[in-house]
Amino acid sequence: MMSPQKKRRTRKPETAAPPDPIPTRFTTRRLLALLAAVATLGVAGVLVIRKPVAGPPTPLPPARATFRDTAIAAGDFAGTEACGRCHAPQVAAWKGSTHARAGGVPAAVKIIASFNGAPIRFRDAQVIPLARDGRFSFTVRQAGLPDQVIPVDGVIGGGHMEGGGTQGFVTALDDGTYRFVPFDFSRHDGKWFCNTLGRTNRGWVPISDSLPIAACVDWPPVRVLGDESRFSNCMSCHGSQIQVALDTTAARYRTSFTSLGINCESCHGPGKRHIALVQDPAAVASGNIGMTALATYGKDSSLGVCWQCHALKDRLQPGFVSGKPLAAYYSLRTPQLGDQAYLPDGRVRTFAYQQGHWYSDCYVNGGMTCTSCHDPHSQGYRDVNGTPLPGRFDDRQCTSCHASKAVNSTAHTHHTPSSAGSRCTSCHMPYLQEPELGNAIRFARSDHAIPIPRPVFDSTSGVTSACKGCHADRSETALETQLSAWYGTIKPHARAIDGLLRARATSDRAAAARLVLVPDEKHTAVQFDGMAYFLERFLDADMESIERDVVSRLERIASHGDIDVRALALASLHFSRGNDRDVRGILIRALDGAGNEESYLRARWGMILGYLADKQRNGGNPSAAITIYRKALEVEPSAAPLHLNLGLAFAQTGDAASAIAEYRRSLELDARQPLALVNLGIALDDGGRAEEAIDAYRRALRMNPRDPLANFNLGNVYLKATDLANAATYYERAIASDPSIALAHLYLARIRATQGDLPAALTQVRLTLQFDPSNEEATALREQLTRVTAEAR
Amino acid sequence: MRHLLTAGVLALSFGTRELDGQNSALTPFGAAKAESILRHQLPCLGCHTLQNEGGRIGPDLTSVRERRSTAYIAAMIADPQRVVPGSAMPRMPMPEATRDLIVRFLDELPATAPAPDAAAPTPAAPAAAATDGSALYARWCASCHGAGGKGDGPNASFLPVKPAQHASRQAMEVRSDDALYDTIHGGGAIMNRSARMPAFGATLTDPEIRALIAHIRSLCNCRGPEWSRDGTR
Repeated sequence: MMSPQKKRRTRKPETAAPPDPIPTRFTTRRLLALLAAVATLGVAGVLVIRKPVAGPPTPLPPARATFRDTAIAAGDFAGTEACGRCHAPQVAAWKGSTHARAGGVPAAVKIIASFNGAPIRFRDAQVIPLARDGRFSFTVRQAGLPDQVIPVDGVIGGGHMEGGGTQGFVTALDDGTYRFVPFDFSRHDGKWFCNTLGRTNRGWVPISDSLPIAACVDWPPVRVLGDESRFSNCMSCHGSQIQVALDTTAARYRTSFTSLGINCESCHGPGKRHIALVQDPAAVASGNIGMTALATYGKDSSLGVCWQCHALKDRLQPGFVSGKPLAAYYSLRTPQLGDQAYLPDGRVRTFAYQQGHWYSDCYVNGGMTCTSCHDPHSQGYRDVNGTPLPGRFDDRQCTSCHASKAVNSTAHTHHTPSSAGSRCTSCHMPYLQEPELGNAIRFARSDHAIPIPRPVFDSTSGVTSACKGCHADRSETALETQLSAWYGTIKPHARAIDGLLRARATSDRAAAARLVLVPDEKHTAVQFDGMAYFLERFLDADMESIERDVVSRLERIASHGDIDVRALALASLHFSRGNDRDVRGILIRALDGAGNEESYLRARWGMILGYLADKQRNGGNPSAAITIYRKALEVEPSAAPLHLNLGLAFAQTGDAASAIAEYRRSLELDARQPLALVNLGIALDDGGRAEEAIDAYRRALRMNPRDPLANFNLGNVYLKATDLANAATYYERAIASDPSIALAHLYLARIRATQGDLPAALTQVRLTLQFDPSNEEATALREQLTRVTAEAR
Repeated sequence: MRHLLTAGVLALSFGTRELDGQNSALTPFGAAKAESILRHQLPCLGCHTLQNEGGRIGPDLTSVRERRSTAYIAAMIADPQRVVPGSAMPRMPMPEATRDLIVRFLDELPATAPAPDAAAPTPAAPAAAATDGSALYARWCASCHGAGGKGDGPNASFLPVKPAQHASRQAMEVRSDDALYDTIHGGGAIMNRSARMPAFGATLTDPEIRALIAHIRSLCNCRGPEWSRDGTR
């Protein structure tokens, strides 16, 4: 199964070319408006903290202990065959599962896509998928360019999923990475398609002769297998024990994986030590056999095993592999910031349906885990008591808990018994197309928020209600009327969901706080979402005043049991009133009391502030961003990515000296950052220090000779120095690694034109326009070159 | 007399049974797994004691191996009413592998204390008519929830979570009849409440569960929330 790119943020270094500074937009007018609103509330009797902040704030305490990583190496994993020697029944069950059949090398898995030589036609390219002698490849043919043969080195997915299964392919590149090829196949639609999110943003679309190949975000192949900060992706889960990292000594990436299916150790953790221990009588007698029994896990721990893959995540640090503590590496709730991936009731707004479970009544008020319905080995279906069930629509998944509904099911369903409409899943877990993907390729997934159909509400939320999904001919109002006739008053939304919906409809901060900042709320997912919404909508950096009730609520939530919720409360306080003496006391006490969770807490808190800073920087407000990055660095002073991003913000304000200092600080903390060196080079070059810039770029290239941005910017230095030969060399190297750098093509076109090689210039300018169709300079150059070429004839 | 009859049934059904051929002793890892499931996921310790933890309704499990055969323990867990008709112990559905693991664990527990009287499980109260909610409540619920539904039955103090107070209007008027039905049927764990509350769905009939709900409603003198009163199940 191929998935779209899930968004991760903040701790990854970003652009190499600093954008032009844009004037600060946080104006006096906005501040006055804010104060006016607060003053009105004050009259109404709301206590407002309006203390002036004097003097430097008390520093936050230094970190007492840093996270101690669990050392797990690729060699610690034993492989499924070894597991099967003792656990044969489980491995036999697993062999038929979709986990086992999730992917592999082409020779070992079933390929559902057609590799019959019939071309896949783009508007400006033909791609020929071909199988020969057991080898599979794509040949990409574009006018003016030599054929490019892309061998298939891995297959991802088998089109297994009920609501539309897909199959994708990876190819091994010389730089040590495996990259996703942008030609995916949909079993349901029987079509080749590609993902346009990030380019033309039309979701997943069938490949056709009206689609340019550059509309596919993975053209050229940039998304790597594994979780590497440089490349946005979620592909550490489409395989087992996938690890990828830049080896700066070998000057290439190292990618390792056990298989492209999902194996035993993906859930159970590394097995080699376990195998050794069970052969050691002393270890067996001690009970420590290097493995924990997942069957003994409580509700959230059990879910945590599945969340390793089946959840949106923000990365806190690199290097996760099964067996390590997930919470040290990822935050599972923070993706809701900004993206709002889930609607207030947990329905998927973007992508990733499984996490809807967190919003379901079955989780919030019940004991349901993934394994309540899914057998973890066979991935067949079962009831809550572990009795196997024949299919995914079997009502006993639900009625083994909701026995009351099974007594006289027709009285509840109002549909003919054994009709499709009478199934529990038809109304409560309908298949909904993942919204971010568009509607051209079917990728519908069962709604794991398990809601009650509310035709009118669902429609206003942008969701097709279960009723409407079947009865498309009836209006939402008619459907709602029918439901009322059958059921009377419909069960209201949970308090937290209702609170968030109402908070979204008010502009009154104090009222919103009462609705969404609820310390004893037990619906943790919506509590986090409500807090995230409140932070982004109602709080600003270093506010002049704020209602005392807001601070009080956040202070109480800051001792919540969930680490993400706690971090969000603290980040909100720090962001909005962090220089207030009383608030600072709250922050200090929270860190003092964090105990062995301190590093987890700081990582999340710093990341949230870093995200807020990124938002300002990307919104053209680098001065505000600098303030917030400094707050983040109060919490995480040794976070190399924060220093890098602070440097980018300084560069955006034109303060090259501070930018250079921050880049250097970032490199002191983590020397293995080619991108930090590229940004350092850009800042040095902007300051007229070309030789030092060249040195920075060359240092980056020593770590990774293929780094496209280091090559590109080195080309820029030589171009400025009118050393066309060297400039062309580095631009070509940049393009070889990443042909989507439009400017590299454009500058190379200019060089070729200057050198009199008009056909080469024309090819390069066409490639510029392939990736940047609105580039006016390229358009003008193309016309000029076309005219000159015609005249020459 | 009943005891003799029980033994006869056992001989017929379980006398020659082996537990998946697993005759070797449980490893300490296996024992720890079984104990964790017993303490945290199954309702057994709602009524039985294991090493001083748990309820006082049923016999102590710590020393059950000294009183009962492996086959008896297995049969009792699999279908208590069949082994001891009228027993206060409900049948808990669970995967066979889990049941076997628990049986082996109990069968291999080292003796830690002198075995108490080898008493067979006894019914909590006389059998009740299917529609007599009050009598059913006394028989199945009162030992934990209290005769008046105040959560103060004689067994309540041995439980880690105070039993629900069925006499509390505030607590009960937010719970639908269907939720009460499902909890009685499926046990506390499915409702994210105490796993020590057993599932009675394999023991009580639909009319018996409904009679219990009606009795609970009389104890709280309340109804479920308005949205739940559509009369459908």
